[in-house]
Parts: sequence; structure tokens; C-alpha cells
Amino acid sequence: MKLRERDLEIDFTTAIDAIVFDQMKADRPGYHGIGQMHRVDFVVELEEAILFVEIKDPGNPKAKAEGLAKFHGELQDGTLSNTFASKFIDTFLYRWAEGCLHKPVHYISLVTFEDSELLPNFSDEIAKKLPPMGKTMPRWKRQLVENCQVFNIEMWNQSFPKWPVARVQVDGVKRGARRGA
Amino acid sequence: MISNLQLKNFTAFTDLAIDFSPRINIVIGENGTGKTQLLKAILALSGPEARNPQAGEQLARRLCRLYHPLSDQVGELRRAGTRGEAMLSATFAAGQTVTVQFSGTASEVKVSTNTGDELATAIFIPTKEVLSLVRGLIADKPDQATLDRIFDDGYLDLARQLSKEGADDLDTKVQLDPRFDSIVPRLANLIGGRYELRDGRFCFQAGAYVNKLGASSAATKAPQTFQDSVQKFVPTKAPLLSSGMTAEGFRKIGVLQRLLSNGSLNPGTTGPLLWDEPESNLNPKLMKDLVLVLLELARNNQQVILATHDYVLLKWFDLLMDKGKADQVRFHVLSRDTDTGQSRQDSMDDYRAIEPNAIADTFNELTKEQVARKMGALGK
Repeated sequence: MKLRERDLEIDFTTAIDAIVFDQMKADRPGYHGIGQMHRVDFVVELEEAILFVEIKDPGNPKAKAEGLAKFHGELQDGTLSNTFASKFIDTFLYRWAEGCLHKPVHYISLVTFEDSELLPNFSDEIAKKLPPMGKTMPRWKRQLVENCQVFNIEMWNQSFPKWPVARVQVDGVKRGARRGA
Repeated sequence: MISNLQLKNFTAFTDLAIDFSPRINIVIGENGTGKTQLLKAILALSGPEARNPQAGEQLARRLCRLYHPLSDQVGELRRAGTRGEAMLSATFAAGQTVTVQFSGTASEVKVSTNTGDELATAIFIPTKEVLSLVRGLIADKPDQATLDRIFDDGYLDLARQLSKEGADDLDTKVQLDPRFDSIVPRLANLIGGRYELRDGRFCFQAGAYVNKLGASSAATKAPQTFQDSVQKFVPTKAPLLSSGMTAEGFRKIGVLQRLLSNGSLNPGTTGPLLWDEPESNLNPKLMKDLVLVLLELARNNQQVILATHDYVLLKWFDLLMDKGKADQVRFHVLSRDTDTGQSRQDSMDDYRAIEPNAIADTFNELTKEQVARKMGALGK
């Protein structure tokens, strides 16, 4: 089951279902419909778990200087990890309301950093902004997320050989358009 | 300034040839790959012994004092299990060459040089901090034979250089010499004060450099070298501390401070600054500023050769170097062949080309371990 975010395509070969979660075109199937809520890019259902997948592509060769400057600014001042955390929380609520949260959730993101040194730190930065914010909660019976982790293309493919990600040609596809296949 | 070093059948090295950058060089390698031995070889070949009429005897003794071979015979430094004599050869920037050869049974070495010109003295900063040892090593007339048995010449040389009298008026130096106006205040502000020599021992005076008169905005914007410096050290009311009472990492910064203030380290004139594991005992937060200082020294024509196995230090150099300021950082990787045990070397100008790159490997390992622990076989 292939999903594409601009020119990055992931093939979730072991998925039961895989959807573009942030579909904001009313005429498309799976229309999200609440612009005020943050949204991850994909939600993937596996036999034993659910994946929330967010993609950011600063490593795109076509990335524009202003876009990159904004990305790095947000990475540095912490707003990027805030956004990643909000996307998880709002998606979690939305899927709860849909009655689709019956398996453990993993929040795995693909950020096309060139340096893999940045990955563990950024993963932890997002994780500590997700409830219960690194605290031990004796009253809680469940946890929201099993694993919150960020990968670049190389580390994603090494970690998940059954969900290969590749940069694909977007010729013939309107830039910015997405498709589920 | 050293431009090339060759080591054959010497200690850890079977056959090594390195071309050095005139600015920053970083020798990287795991423990036991010969980083310190390489720095000491440069120190030995840069010294005055090679020009001495008794060069063969003097250099042999110098090598023994630096490497402390068990038998105290220079021949022992020839690499065991190899054929041929040991050979150390250095070419310096002004074209001088010094070559030393010796057999496995030698008590003297054969020295050949191409010119009688004096070489600029190299400075070696060993792994352990030396500032607090100066009083014991130099000031209180210690028993030299005992010292020689405990400390190799790397420590004793530095202690002598630190205790050298010189214009200790750092403030004047900072005012008059534009090369120092960004380096010396940065070092002092990094550790919250400066070390001063009082009665043969180093003491720490807390304080900071401040802009006394306030630079005009025009002066602030002027290029560094033309900027009128108005920075002055202002001590706090805190009492003087003995150096032993201060953090060991601070004392390492203090070594650099002192060498600059007494003229032992004079960028543009001094030979290479050889620094073995600058990161040891240093708070990682001080690392960035230390790298900025070393880059600034190199911009003022100080050749710097560091040995490290801390890949964070390399990453700082990679991030902070400014090619617009003609920064040039060369990485020399030493590794050991698992089959033959021989030390191998490879040099590169790009951090990304370093292979094996332990920093990336370490972080990738963390990523993989987290996946394994939290996601098990998912996606595999």
C-alpha cells in the first residue's frame, strides 16, 4: 500500500490499511474536515499496531531557501517539535472519536535530515512534549504512544525494510498533490 | 610549521606519511592507534637537538625522555617484528628537513638535516593538566631524577614554558595586539577569570573582561584586525584561589591563557601547537568556545595539531569553521588493521568523508536500539 507526500513515497507492504490522514479536499475520500485540528500525514493500520506518520522534507533537492530557513528556525526555537507533538495529540483525539484506536500507537516520522546525529535528540524533544510529558503517572492505565521516533531516509529504510521509502519523480503529478495508491 | 611527517618502523607505525594543513589538523583514532606517539614525534623533530653538534646522542636521549622505553635505549622504539631501521622524518614549511634513523640495538640515532636554520619551537600540551604541577616540577627545586622517572618530557617541557617569565601584562597585550583581543577575553570569560603566576605557583583570579570605555558602533563594525580594543580585565572581590582548588577543565584553558600571555605561544612565530585530547576533563559545554579559540589562533597563522577520540570535537570544527575566513581543517584518521595490527592512516578535508565516522555510527546505533526495544519486529 503506497502513500505519497509530495515526492516521497512509502510502501507499507505489511499494512491492513493505510490512509492519507490530512486529506483536506472535501471531494476526496477520507476528508478530514476540521482545519483547526493539527493532522499527521498518514495513518497506517497493521495487524498488531497503528502507525501515525509525519513527513518533513528539508532534504528535498528542490527545497527553497526561505522554506529551509523557516524549517531550521523552527527546529532551533522548538516550534517544530511543538507542531509534531500537536499533530500527534490532535490525530489521536480524532481517531479516538472515529473509534479507531484499538491497538498500540507508534508515532514515527520521516524528516530528511542529512545528519543522522540530529535524529535521537529531535525524537526525544517531541516525545517529552507528548502526555504525560515524561512524568510517571500512577493513575494512568494506558499509554498514548509506544514509540515516538524520527528517522531520515537512510535510517528509516534500515529500520523498516518492509516499509521502504523512496524519492520518486513527480512528473505528471501536480506539485503538492498527493495520492493514495 | 610542519608540512609533512614520515614514520617508518617506529613504535606503532610501520609506514606512515602525513601531509599537514598549515592551519588546523585533527588526528582521530581509537585508543592505541598511536595518536600521542605521532604528536611526540613532531615535538622531538622540531626541537633544537637536531641542530646540536651531538645531535645523534641528544635526539636519542630526547626520544627516550619523551617515550620512556623500558630499557631506556632508543633502539627499543623501533617497531618489533619489522625489517629495517626505524625512521622519523619531518619537512617543515621553510623547506627544512630533519631525518632520524636507528637500529633496534642503537643507543644513539643518525640525524641528517638539510639546513642549519633554527626551527620554530613546537608546544605540546599533554592529556593531563600541568598548570597545578608547575610549582612541584619547577619552582621548588625538585629532584630531577625522580621527576624524569615520573613525567615524560611532554610534561616537563610544558611546565618550563608555563613558568617562563614574560610580559604577563595581558591587558596591554589585549590592547596592543589585535590578534589577542578576541582570544584572551574569550578564554577568561569562558572560565570566569584567569590564572596568574604568584611566587612560583599558579593562582586563579575570578573576573571578566569588559568593555571599559565602550567601543563606538563604527569600531564594533570594523574588521577585527583594525578594531581598537578597549577590553580590560576586571577582577571580582573573590579571594585568589590556588589552581588546585579550580576545576581541572578550567586549568586546561588556563594553560592556553598562560602560554599566550608569556609569549610561549606566539601565533605566526611559534611552531605547531600539539594538543593531546583537549577534551579530557573539559566540560562539553566549554568545547564550542575552545574550538572558536583554536580557529582564531589558526586564522592568526598558528598551526594546530590536535589528537582526539572525541567526535563531538570534530563536529564542532565542522560546524564552526568559516571557509570565508580561509579556515582549513584537515582530518587524519588513524586506525589499526585487525589482522596485521599495523596502524593505518587516511587524511581528508571533509568531515563527512571520515571513515569510520564513530559519531554518526554512535547516533545510528541509538536510533536502531530504540526501534528494537520499542517496536520489536514491526516493519522488518
